[in-house]
Amino acid sequence: MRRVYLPTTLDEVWSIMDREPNAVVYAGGTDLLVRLHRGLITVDGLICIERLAQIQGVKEEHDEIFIGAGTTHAELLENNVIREHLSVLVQALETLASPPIRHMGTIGGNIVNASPAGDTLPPLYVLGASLEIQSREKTRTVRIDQFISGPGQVLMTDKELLTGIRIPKPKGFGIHHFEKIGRRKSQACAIASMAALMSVSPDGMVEDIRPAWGSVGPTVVTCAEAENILRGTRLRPEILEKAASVVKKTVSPIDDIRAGADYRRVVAGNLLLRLIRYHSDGT
Amino acid sequence: MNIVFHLNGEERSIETPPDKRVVDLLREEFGLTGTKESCGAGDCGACTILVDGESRLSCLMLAIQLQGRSITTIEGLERKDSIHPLQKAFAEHGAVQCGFCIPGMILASVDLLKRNPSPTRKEIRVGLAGNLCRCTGYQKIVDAVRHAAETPCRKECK
Amino acid sequence: MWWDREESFLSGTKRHPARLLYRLGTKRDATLHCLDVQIFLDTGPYDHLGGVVLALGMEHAGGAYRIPNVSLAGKCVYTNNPIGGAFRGFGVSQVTAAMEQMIDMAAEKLDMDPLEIRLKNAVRRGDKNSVGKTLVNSTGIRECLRTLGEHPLWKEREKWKTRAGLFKRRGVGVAALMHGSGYGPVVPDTANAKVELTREGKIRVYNGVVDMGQGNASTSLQIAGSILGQPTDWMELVLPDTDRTLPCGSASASRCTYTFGNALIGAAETLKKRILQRAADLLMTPSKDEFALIPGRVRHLPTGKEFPAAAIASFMDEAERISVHHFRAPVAPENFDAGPGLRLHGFPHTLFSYAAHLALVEVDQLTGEVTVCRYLAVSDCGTIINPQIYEQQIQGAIAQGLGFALSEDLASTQGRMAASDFAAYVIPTAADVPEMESVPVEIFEPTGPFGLKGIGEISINGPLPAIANALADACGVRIVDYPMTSERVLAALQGLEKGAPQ
Repeated sequence: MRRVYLPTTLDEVWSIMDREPNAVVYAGGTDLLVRLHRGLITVDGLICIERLAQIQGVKEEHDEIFIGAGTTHAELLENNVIREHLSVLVQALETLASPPIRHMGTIGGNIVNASPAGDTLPPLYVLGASLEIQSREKTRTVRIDQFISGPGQVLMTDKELLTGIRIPKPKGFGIHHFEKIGRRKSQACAIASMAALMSVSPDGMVEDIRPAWGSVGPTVVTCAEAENILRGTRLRPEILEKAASVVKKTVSPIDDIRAGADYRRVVAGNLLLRLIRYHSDGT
Repeated sequence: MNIVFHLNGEERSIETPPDKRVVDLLREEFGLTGTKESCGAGDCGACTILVDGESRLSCLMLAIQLQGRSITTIEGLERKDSIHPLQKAFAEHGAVQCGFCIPGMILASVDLLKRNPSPTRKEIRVGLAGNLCRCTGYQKIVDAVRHAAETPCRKECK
Repeated sequence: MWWDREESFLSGTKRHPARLLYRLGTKRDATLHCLDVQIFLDTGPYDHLGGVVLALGMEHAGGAYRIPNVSLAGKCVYTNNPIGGAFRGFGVSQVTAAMEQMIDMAAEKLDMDPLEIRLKNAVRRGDKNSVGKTLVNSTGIRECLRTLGEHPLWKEREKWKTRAGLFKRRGVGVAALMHGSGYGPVVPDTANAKVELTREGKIRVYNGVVDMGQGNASTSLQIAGSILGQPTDWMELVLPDTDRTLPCGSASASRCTYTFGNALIGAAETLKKRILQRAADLLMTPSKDEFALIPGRVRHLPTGKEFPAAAIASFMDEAERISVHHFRAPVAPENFDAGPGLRLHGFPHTLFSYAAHLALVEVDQLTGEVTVCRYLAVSDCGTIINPQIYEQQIQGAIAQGLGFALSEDLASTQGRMAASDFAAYVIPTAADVPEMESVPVEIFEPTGPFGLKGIGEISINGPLPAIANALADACGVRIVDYPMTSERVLAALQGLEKGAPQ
């Protein structure tokens, strides 16, 4: 029998972490409990943080949106602040697993899990999200791309907890775009995905663009060279093709059971071509 | 440890290891075998239950997480003298074949209709995409949920 | 005993992977002239009906067409791969996937409409089919094809195709299907029905063929209730049980309601005669024909006098109250010189269901993703006794066939399956399955109970070839490895993969 804790305050969490240095934290359990049940990991202590009200909910703070790490995907999908400002995240959440999983899984879990296929990660990268990491002693803030260091790897100690996500309200990006390719239409693990923020002037010039790709590298992939090709030019198929060919060289996908690396590489580039649909649409 | 929670409207208390999976607890300790396990990994939805009215997967919850919660299983949808309108709609529309996915499918539908009382056929398909069915091809399930959505509902089924 | 999901994946029998080599010859006027087929099935390390699956595949390899010159060769091969065995479709799904694409390829070469080439060559009652079996039972493939051709989804297909969005291509595909039912000529396809008038005056049906959800038990109540004049509240159902019900064979081979239904009709007719005869004896009237069975009662029509069925039952011995009837399905009398064992393995059949399927498909040129937008199934499975159950079988099989076509993959390396759970083995969700329309072509089958034929399997054979033909129609590519994943489709679109259809 494993010891399982159900703390309701952060202070309790720190005490449990002190007593049980090997205990593993979970929120929704939609990933950890699968691995546990299959015997892929062994733990003797579990800390379920689903009752930590302190790290739940969405707050609008001037130019920022603060999301408690323990907020479920479903809560985010139904939150008006998120829907109004973070459409790119909403689009990704709509493709994330299935309704019951979205009722259980949390955005913090999706980040800390650091799966290359994590659906919220490309949107959080393009939104420039930073993370609040707390321990008993202190709170530190780190950019998401400096937090996730590899597949399933994050820069956090056993005494720390991801408690919140800070997202600056995206300004001037009229276009929020997300697309995911999976083996089926719903409840699919990403083979490749792309999130993008873009602003296009009324005369069709790309004023700014921030794309990011999921499932085509050990972590989320961004591509400054492709952004530079597109930024300041008229949005047209040839220029997107040119940027896409750079993207195909930049990504570093692997073969797995869902798809081969070559396919992922081609699709990563092709997903960029989809942006042509916004060519005459600055809003 | 001792867990106290509401199960299908009644307060229950049980002595259980805190890491027992909820699906096992419901089936083995409470005899509520309407909750099925088909994959044990969150991929199929057969073990769906309602936790405080929201659909969740009982194969990915540990007993301790029931503490203080209100749980509804398929057995809890039945009232003294009648079945839930969704159960009735599933039966009447031929939405059931082998039936293994159906308890989870109906509980997922209860949650879906609570969030979206009048879903389109497409919204129903997406809303039930976490519940796999191998027999029906889903069409009659969509028919049943659509019908239940159109039927005026008693207070207790909300 | 219970298996967890991974154990079920490892141990359960799977649809035999097949390698199919086809050569089809036509005359200039599109008359099918010759067919050469070689079939290799991978049965894994053990034989689980491998020979029988192969035999059914061979019998259906030429489809529902007249082809005068046919050469068929089949091998079922032992390997160290996962075990192949009985799976819905039973060898027919694999060969239909090939044959129905061959027909489309021939149509393309001949610059002929895919529906027209099928109508030109489709079998009629009295024809010999592609294995030389004379079709003596109802044969509705032409009616299915014609009905499909009159449907709006077919008639308005060109307009629908032009409405594809950016980076999308649309196409439509047809598949003509047939599926034999029953065990074939040697293994007796039998059922033993039992019906009882209980002491309480109810009709108890001992349904001996397993209902695992396909609904045949409901149909049995309908059949017995119809003959004995009883609604379901005057009936009781006993599900298969080695103690109470009699041997009725397997719930397989699209044969449950056909074989058991015929047995049940015999048992119910006999019981009806006994009840009415006993009523006539009691009233000292000359003929049992003066009586009618009404719900729970018997009525003497000339006088209007009634008495409860329970009263009749109380005058009958148990041996009289229980009626049993044995039925053995008809078999093909032809004796082909087709190699040893083939007949034993069930070759040929005599009774076939037919269908014509239409898939409307959209292909994404950037990702290779195939979306099935609409699906039409026109089926000749004889008379329909229970429309809801009939549709269930069609819809469920189409969804399963959709998975076969697009996403379900049991690839293995060195004998080890790559997929061992539902995250990796991708079956369709509700969001993947299109709205399906099912149109019946009800042709009375004289040997069937109330005119019905089997509906359990035929529909699974359609989606793969119909979608493949639609894909070719949309983008001019054919995938020869299945499932047709986005990855394979995109590779074909890019010409990266040179897979010439064989």
